[in-house]
Amino acid sequence: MNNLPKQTADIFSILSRGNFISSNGSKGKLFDIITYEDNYALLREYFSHTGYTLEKGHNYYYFSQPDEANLVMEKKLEQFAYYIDVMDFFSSMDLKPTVGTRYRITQIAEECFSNERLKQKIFALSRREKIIDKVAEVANDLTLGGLFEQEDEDTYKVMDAIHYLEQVISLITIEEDGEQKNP
Amino acid sequence: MENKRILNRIIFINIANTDYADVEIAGNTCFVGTNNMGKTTLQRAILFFYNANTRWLGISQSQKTFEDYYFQYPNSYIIYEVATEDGLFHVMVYRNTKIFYRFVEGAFEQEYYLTDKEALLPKGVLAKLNEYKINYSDQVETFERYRNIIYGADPDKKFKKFALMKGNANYHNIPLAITSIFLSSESVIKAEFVKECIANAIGSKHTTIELKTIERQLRQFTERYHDIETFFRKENAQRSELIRDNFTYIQQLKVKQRMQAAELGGALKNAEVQKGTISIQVADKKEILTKLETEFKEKDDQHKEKNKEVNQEIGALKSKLKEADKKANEYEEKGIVDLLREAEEKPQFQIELQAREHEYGTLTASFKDVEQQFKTLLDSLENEKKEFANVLSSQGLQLDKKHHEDKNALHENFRQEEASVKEKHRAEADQLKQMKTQHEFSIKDAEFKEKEIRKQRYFAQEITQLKTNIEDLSRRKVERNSALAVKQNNVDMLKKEGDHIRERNRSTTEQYIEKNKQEVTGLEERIKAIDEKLSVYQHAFFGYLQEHYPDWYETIGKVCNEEILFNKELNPKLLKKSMDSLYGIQLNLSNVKVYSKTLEEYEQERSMLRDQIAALNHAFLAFREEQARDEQSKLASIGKKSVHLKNEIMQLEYEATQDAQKEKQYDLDLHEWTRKGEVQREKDLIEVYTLQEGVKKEIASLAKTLAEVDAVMKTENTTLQQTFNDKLAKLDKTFAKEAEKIRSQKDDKLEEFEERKGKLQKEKSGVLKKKGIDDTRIKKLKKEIDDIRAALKNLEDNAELINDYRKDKRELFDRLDEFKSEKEKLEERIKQSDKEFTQQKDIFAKTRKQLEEESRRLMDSLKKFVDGLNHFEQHFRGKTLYDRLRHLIDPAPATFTETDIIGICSQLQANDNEFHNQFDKFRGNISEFAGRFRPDNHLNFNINTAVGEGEYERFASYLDEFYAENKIQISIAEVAKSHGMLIDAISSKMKALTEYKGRVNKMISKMEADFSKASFESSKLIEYVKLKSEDSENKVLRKLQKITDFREQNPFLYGEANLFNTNNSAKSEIDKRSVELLNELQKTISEEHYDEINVQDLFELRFRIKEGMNDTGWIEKIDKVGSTGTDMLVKAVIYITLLNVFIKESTEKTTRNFKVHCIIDEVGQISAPYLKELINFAEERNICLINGLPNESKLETHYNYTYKFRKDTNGYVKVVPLLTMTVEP
Repeated sequence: MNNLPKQTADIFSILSRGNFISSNGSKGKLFDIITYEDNYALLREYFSHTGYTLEKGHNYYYFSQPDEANLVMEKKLEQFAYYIDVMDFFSSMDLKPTVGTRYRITQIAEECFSNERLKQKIFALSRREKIIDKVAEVANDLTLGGLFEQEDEDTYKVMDAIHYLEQVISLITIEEDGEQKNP
Repeated sequence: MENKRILNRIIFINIANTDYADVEIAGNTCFVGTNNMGKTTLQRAILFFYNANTRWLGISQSQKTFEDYYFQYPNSYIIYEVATEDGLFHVMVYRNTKIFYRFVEGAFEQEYYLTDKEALLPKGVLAKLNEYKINYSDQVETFERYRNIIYGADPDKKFKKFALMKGNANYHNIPLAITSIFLSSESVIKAEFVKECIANAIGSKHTTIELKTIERQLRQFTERYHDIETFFRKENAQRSELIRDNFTYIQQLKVKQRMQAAELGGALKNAEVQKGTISIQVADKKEILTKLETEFKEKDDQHKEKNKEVNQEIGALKSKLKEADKKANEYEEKGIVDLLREAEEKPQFQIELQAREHEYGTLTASFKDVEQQFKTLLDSLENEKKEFANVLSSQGLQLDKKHHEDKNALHENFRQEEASVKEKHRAEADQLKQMKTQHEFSIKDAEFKEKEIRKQRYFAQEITQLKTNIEDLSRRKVERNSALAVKQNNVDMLKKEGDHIRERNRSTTEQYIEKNKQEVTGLEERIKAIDEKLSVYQHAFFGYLQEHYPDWYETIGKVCNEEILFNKELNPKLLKKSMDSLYGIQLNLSNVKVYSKTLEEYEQERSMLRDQIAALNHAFLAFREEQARDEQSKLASIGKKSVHLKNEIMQLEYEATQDAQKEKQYDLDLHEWTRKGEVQREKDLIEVYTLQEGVKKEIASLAKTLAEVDAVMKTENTTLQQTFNDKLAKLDKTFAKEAEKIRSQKDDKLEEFEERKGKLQKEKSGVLKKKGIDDTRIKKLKKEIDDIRAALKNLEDNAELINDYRKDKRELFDRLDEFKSEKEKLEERIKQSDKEFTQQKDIFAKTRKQLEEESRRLMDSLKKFVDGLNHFEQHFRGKTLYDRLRHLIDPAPATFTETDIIGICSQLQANDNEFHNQFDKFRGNISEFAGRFRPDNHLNFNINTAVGEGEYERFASYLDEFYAENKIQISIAEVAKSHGMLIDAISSKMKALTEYKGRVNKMISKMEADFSKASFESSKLIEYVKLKSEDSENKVLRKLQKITDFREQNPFLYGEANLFNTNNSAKSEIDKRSVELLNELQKTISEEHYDEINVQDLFELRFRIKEGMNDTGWIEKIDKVGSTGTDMLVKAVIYITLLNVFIKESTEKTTRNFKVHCIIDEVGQISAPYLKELINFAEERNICLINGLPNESKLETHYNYTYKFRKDTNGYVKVVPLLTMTVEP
């Protein structure tokens, strides 16, 4: 494994925390390194011994774990349900959450003030008192998940990893009786 | 007084808690006083003379500031009196909002400042000085200026006389060392301090590398580099292309949308107009149709009415014929023929009867005279004969008359019938002729119509419109082709121009590089020569002179060239000092120029040369940037024009494609309309032909009918003639027969009469012979009479029948032919009328069909417009799309459009949907593209999402412009420049800095030499104080050094202004490495938190002190050496040594004709012998000590001046001299 990139430890430390490495984030260099020549195959093989599988998305990488405890999966599903609501919130905005989009917390809060639907949605997402804090909380949650990246105090950028969320949401089918089913 | 410059006295006037104190300090001075008596205040004031820095006086922040504590009154003064070789001058320090200085010639005199023991205000002092004609300087307002004057570094010559020493620009170490000694006498002596002093001693303004600046520049560089790197990423390049494509497509969709909107507006207006026009046309057609129908109905009624009358007539005729037939049968059954014959014979019967009756009478009247009888008989016979002849002639006359009458009647009848036939046929023929003429007219009409049809241009409006469109298109095509050719030529020309500019710039750059290289090489050679000199000077004559012959510049320096000065083989030996001769010959060199240079001058020259190289490099970088800017601006202008032209070409090509499609469509439409027109023409011609054929047939039929009618007429005429002839012949025959009959009757009668006459004659003769009567005869006569009477009676009985018959014959039977003919005529009339009516009906049906067809066509057209308008109202007006486009739709003028309103609405909607789909993609691409750059990237790839959709279009326009003007080139040039300048700046600064290494080492050597002299021979207190320098451990410096080394290894890495050119792999590797080095430097700077890199960072300094048995080893700081007293002593020694070295350094070129003070407070812990040694140690170095002691002891006996501090009754501190003496060494 002499050919492993020297940033392998950095890559592992980010991905093993459940984060993504997106091409358009501040960790773009790491993305380039994984993408460079045979590094992806090498790293995939290398990380496979740790119980993680290095997965490749559209301009992002992440770890998957084939065997997970039910409790963990349940937690993840809960988290995912939350993400779906968050995506629903952002998708209801004038500015849709496409890759590279920059959101300003104050701007989102302003839109929430003027849009009753958004207001209701953000109220359902966060228990904070002020709307601006609610928005910040949601944005921070997405940042923690590696779907957003905070650029400055007020600005968050949508990462390539948002595709992961979109892809999973697109896989959800709603049965006629209203029950959701993940194929 | 010694002939040396020294701070001679310090006078306090209203300073702190001293009203007046005059303290002479022109030697080692000791202040004795208990705490809080003002010792330190005075010492600080002395220190203030040397450092003129209110913050470096050891005043803590909790205490009053220097200004507030010392200068409490406007008439507070500190006066420093300085002794010089030429006399005294004094410095007046006072406060007027801030502290000011004035240099006053002459010694301090109380009366200048005090009047009646009251201090004057500065104005008063100046007035006094003026009064005493004492010269004084202008007010010196800054500490820096004051220091420069005192240390002899002020350029103003009039202040030269007020200098304590003739120092150079690096005098700062002297006040620093004096200050440090005062402030840190009890604290740790850190290597850092010494390093700082060394740095100060040798440093100049160029020695400091401001890391904040470098870090800022590095950050800017790396950010910009990163921006450009991001820009060149493959996916970003692809995405930018995608964005531009998207944008072009969106623009096209917008143009299309605008066109369609205008088309819709035009179509709507046109529909409104057409709706009105067509409605009127439809109403007109309906009205015409209704009128036509009404007229036809009237005609139909008339026709029916007319036919009804004729039919009634025919019916009447038919009934008459029927009745005639019936009656003829009845008459026939009743034997009318015999009756009529008998009736005709009635007069004969009556005559016969009369004759028979007469004969009978005669025969029966007694046979009178036979003669008579016979005469009578004969007479009677003769009478009868005559009567008979009369009757016959009457009959003959009657017959003749009748014959003539019959003949005339027959003629008349014939003429009538002929006339009737003629009349009948003439009417029919006229009718037929009329019809024929009508048909001929119809034929002519049809022929005219045929010509019209042949001439007619079907769907002329559509075809004209299409042809106009095609003509427009072909005209536009020609114009466009010409415009395309012109634009293409322009693009080619611009490309050539661009190539020319690039080529010219490339050659200019090459020339510049060549020139620059030559200049740099020349300068480097000169630097190399200086380096060589500097590396060998210590072993050459130059080094010897430096070491052993001060001021050699003024003598030997004027007569020796550099070859001799830097010759190592000369083995110089000083035979006799101060003998200014050249091999025994005295020369007046006062007007001779000094040829030799000092070390500093060499260094300065080298530094200057380096500066020149740096300047050349900077000039090159600036040139390259300027050239890149110039090239970019020219190319941008060209690119802008080129892109503009290309856009126009693209637009033209797009229009060409659109027009080609349109042309194709128009051609197809034209073909279709022409085909439709031809089909319609064919149809119309067929109709006309059919009509013509029909009419021709009709005409032929009419001609035939006419011929037939003529033939019939002829036949009828012939028949009539024949009938007439036959009848005439028959009549003649009958007449002849009747005449013959009469003649025969006459002949018979005459014969009978002759026979009877003969018979009578015979009878007469028989009677006469026999005379008797014959009854057979009478019987026969009787029977004949009865028969005649019966016949007459029968006639009488049937007279009514005969009359009826005759009436019927006259009224019916004789007119049967007339009736039949009349009936036929009437039937023919009906037939003709029906035929005529059928024709009219056909024309009506045709006209109605045509009208209905036209009406239907108009209705269809109207429906299309109405449906379009309704569709627009119901499905388009309410949409936001309409609101967006209403400014284009509403004002559009009415125009004919190929596509109907519904079609245009659908197209607009489809276009809008496509636009939104494309815009979503466009927005996504832009977000993704811009998202890959830093939010504040220098390429300005930012989106203000709050602005809305327009922002994305602005972004795309900017991107277009960016590519068109190749703006990245400016960024690349800027980054290349900043890269080059950064590396160059770092390298040159590092070079400048490392050049000081030699001087640092020299300084350290000097210090070490001085320290070696510091061993106290008598007491052996300090065995040695050693110093050494080691390589720096500063990480930032190492990185800087790496960059400098890299720069040295790659001396001319600025050949190309593009850090991102991957064509040259070797250059690319070098660039990559250089950028990595800069990144590492930036990282290290941010990690290490250094603000700057100075000379002191070039090396590490280590002390080693052996005091008694204590050996500190190589240490970084001197914390505690021995006991407190020893420690103080050692530190004082070190400081004094440092001060001495610094003074030497600062006044290298001048003789040491001055003394400075070294202020060390609280020296009470040092033992008297050591203190004495210390004083001597300082004395040897022209340094006077000023010490403070809390109590009087024997120590003060070692000083030249000793003062005691005490307070008077007013609380003012009084400084009282205890004794003044010079301690013998």
